[in-house]
Amino acid sequence: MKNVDNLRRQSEEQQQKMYACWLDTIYWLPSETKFRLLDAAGSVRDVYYMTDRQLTALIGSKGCEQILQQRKRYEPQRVWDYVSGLGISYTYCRTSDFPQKLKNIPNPPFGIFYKGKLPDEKIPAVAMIGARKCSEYGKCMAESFATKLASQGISIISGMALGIDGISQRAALTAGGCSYGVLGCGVDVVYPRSNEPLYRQLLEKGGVISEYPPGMEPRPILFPPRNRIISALADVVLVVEARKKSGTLITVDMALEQGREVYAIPGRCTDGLSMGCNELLRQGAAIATDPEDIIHDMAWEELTDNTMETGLEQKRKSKSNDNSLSPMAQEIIRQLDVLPVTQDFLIRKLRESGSICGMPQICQGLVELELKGLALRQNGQYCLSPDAALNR
Amino acid sequence: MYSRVITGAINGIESVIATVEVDSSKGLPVFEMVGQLNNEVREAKERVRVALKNASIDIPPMRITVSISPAEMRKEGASYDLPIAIGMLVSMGMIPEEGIRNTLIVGELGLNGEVRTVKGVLPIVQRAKLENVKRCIVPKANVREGAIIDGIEIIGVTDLMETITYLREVEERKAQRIAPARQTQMDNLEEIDADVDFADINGQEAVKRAVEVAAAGFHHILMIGPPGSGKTMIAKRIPTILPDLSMDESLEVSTIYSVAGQLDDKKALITKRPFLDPHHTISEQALAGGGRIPKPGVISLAHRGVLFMDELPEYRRNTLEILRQPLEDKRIHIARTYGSFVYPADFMLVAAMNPCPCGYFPDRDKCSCSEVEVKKYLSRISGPILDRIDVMTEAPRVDIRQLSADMRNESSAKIKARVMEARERQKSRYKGTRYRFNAELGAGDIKEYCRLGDKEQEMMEEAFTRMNLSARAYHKIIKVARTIADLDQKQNISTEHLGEAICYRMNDNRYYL
Repeated sequence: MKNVDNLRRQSEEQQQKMYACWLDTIYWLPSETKFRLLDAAGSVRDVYYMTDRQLTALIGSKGCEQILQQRKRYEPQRVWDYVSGLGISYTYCRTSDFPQKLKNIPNPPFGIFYKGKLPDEKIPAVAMIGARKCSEYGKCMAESFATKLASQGISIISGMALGIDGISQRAALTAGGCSYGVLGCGVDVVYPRSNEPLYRQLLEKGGVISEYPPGMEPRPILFPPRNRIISALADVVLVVEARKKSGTLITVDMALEQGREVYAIPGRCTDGLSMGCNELLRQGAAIATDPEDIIHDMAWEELTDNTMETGLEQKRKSKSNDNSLSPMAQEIIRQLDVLPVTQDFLIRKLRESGSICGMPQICQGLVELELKGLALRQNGQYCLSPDAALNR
Repeated sequence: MYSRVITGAINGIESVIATVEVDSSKGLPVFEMVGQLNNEVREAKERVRVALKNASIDIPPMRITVSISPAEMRKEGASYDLPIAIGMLVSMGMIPEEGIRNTLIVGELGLNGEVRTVKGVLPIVQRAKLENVKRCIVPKANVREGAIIDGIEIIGVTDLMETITYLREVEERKAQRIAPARQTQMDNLEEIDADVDFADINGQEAVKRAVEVAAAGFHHILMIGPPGSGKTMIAKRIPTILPDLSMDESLEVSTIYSVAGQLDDKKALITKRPFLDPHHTISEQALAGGGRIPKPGVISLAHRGVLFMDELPEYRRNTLEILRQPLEDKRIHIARTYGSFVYPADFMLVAAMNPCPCGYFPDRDKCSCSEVEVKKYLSRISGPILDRIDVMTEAPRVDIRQLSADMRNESSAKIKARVMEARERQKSRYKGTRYRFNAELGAGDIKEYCRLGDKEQEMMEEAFTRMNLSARAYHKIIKVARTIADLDQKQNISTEHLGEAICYRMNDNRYYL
């Protein structure tokens, strides 16, 4: 008897989902309005069967017309079949699988479309956000933070955009972690196109999420609202790099409204791209100089998975142990930092510190470090690899 | 009466011996010219007639027929004026036939009878020597050019009258009238540009070293850096460290310049490696060689020298794509209605470019280009072109302290000495093969000339997997390592050489990010 009840409840939930999906594909209707309709009608199915008069009274004639149009154009079953045919899942606020974290925020989304998985809410999540046009420093910090956090089992949430977003997510996935992308377009639309490989990886090892219906093309106006979902899904918002006037700061405002912790990675006070972060720090954001700090502050030690980390550590140790570096490489690595420097800079530094070396030796040393995974070449300049930097 | 004068003709950069036959017989006064002649050759008729008149030579009214052979070749240029005039005089008996025996004549005539300079004297004289011609009569202005070739008499003439008197002279006294030009007069004709020297460049050590390597092995090189980082300055100094031209090479280059009409009295032999820096608006024809009968283009004029392409992505795509074949085959085929021409184009490509449209990437404080823009800018240069560039180097922004610092930099002479030593090593290694420089090595011969030891092989394998290298990049690295070993005066390539060579690699699929 209980089983039958269960089944019935499930199919009922499924039915409601179908109607919710139908309602949610009217994307020009704000989610607020959808909530009002739901509250008045009691269930989404009842919203579908509301009369013109009821609708007009609730949401005005314009909204009523839109719903009528949608009713005329598409059957809920057809919408549902179409969406699931694309391999897209849907969930809305009244179902059990809808993320709790999205419910208790100002202006919550009515429902979300997703591909892949939804984040497991028991696992801590960090939203890593920052400038699209990031500097090498930002890139490096994003990589090292994302790698470390993800390798401890923390999910990385971001917007799959160019720059910091994509870099963090890519690094998290490479480290074997989990990452979720919240898009400003339909979940079946890959934007920007150059992130196609990342998108595919996300589907495999995480998910992409959007409150916009499938097929929705990206528009500038769609992006700020999705930022609230990024911060809402996370426990901590980490700002890697931002200009003083940056879209990233919108996300920070939303995170504060939602009661999420805000961390910022400090930069040099003269760097345009760090001014946003430094300003946040001045206003009282927490300072993030080491991923461990965040884990410690949030008391996540219990929740995080240390086994992966030790595996990584071991790999690193074996790497640095079995190959001892040549004296030249040792001298070079002492001068290297996460900020990329040119060969000319290195040779000057080394000469200042009294070593006699020529360009050929510098080149050889750098390639040796590169082959051992300790240095990276970026745009013709060299820096410490995130691995080596965190191991210092 | 009939007469026959030998002259030279240029076809592409090849030269052939042509004959001007003149027949003057009784009949209505007609001047007829045959033999696939271009307009300028046809006009010779008028120039010759007036020049003879102004030299106070009366042409009796006769039927004159001029035929220039080989008839199947299209004739161009005004160099037939003088042989036609002489041919006429011989056919009318005004110059004895012995006077022109075994003598090649070229020259353009002015209406006043003066003999003017012509193009291509050098290849014509070269050809004449092969055909056992004894003497060449050339315009005075071209005499030094012709005199480069040994074992043939070069007589420079200034006007028609002088030529006639010379030819009328008996053989024994000819040398007294006009002495054959001698080759010893040729030395050091080119002004040496002492203004530029590598010592002028502060900083940019990495680029300087890369350039040294490239020059030693004649590798193509690409410099990437923000505006004002000294890329152009360095490129302009590359000729000062390149190995000297050998006599053979010098002749080859001079031949091209001769055909292009760029040799004169002051610059008769190209003794320095050419340096050409075409502006990026250059047309395809100007780069490859153009015209109905193509003239050598910039890439051929840069033969055995440097072709410097500044702001590489700004060149039109089609123009750049032209470089593909020459970079591979070291010459260019041009097909036109009148036939197909082959010009040598064995140059060292020195290219410079900014990393992005604004020029400052990755300095995010200055650069406002989006990632897409950066990628788009770089993708303007097609893969096949980048594939052929062996050495890639970054020219970072130089800070002001370095610029103003009074540093003692290495002079070009010092660098050149090292380059020359490396050149000698290559010369002895490639003796008896078609190779001259390491850069030319084909994939098959790399194994023979660039043997790697076990340790080196291991390093290459590691680099191959870790850095995601392509097969082509693999070969490029080994070739460059060979050059570095030559600079180091080492017989074998060691891991140090490979290490440095890897540093100059190009990231294959994407350069930035």
